[in-house]
Amino acid sequence: MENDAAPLGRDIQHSILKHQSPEQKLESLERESRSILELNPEYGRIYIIESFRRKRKDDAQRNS
Amino acid sequence: MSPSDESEKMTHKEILKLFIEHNIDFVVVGGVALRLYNSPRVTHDIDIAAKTLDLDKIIPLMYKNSYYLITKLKENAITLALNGEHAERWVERTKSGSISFVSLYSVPQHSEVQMNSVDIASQIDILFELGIPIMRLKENSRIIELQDISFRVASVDDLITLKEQRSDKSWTDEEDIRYLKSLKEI
Repeated sequence: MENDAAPLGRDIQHSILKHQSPEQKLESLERESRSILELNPEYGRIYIIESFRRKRKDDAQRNS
Repeated sequence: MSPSDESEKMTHKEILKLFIEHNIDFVVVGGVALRLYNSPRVTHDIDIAAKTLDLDKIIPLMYKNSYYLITKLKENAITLALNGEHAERWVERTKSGSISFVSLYSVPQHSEVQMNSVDIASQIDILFELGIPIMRLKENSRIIELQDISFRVASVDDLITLKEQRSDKSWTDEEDIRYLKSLKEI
């Protein structure tokens, strides 16, 4: 039986991406990233802190 | 390049092109690699696996293009190495397995700058110490052809391994692993 449920946003995005060129995929990623950070700069601050924290944690484990 | 002009920020493609032009061997991993495998997840940095030997080329190249190495982070401030020599000394001292570069909205006057002066979307992470050696990543990689350049992106299997090796997986890591595994089922 055919599934009539509306596709989820991520599924739609995935289907669109499958038909894009690698250039378009990179461009859309950068555009989406900038849009999110513009709407929520606080998220950007948390993102960079978390990213740095994880890298230093990996270093500490590697050097221990 | 003036770091104060938003329109002049380097795109991912321009960064990769710069590495190719300077004969830096690399493999794209992380969220950008996932996007190239059609994942809708949004990442705010580009992760590039490279050889430690190429650090001598990478650091000057980043500084020439107005990117600064992050050396310390606080709640609202970020400490940067203001020049390539400081950056090289920091990497040597800390023996860090990865380094992060960012560009700013204006030229920094002091090593400590406010977080809101950093262009978060400009973050470039260079990874030297991964669970999979760079040569193996390269061997298993897939070549992505753009109009004027081609570069290597880690294989789906290697991306899964790298994510699974993380000791403190975030929910996005778990989601990425599920996504990458679903690609193998197709």
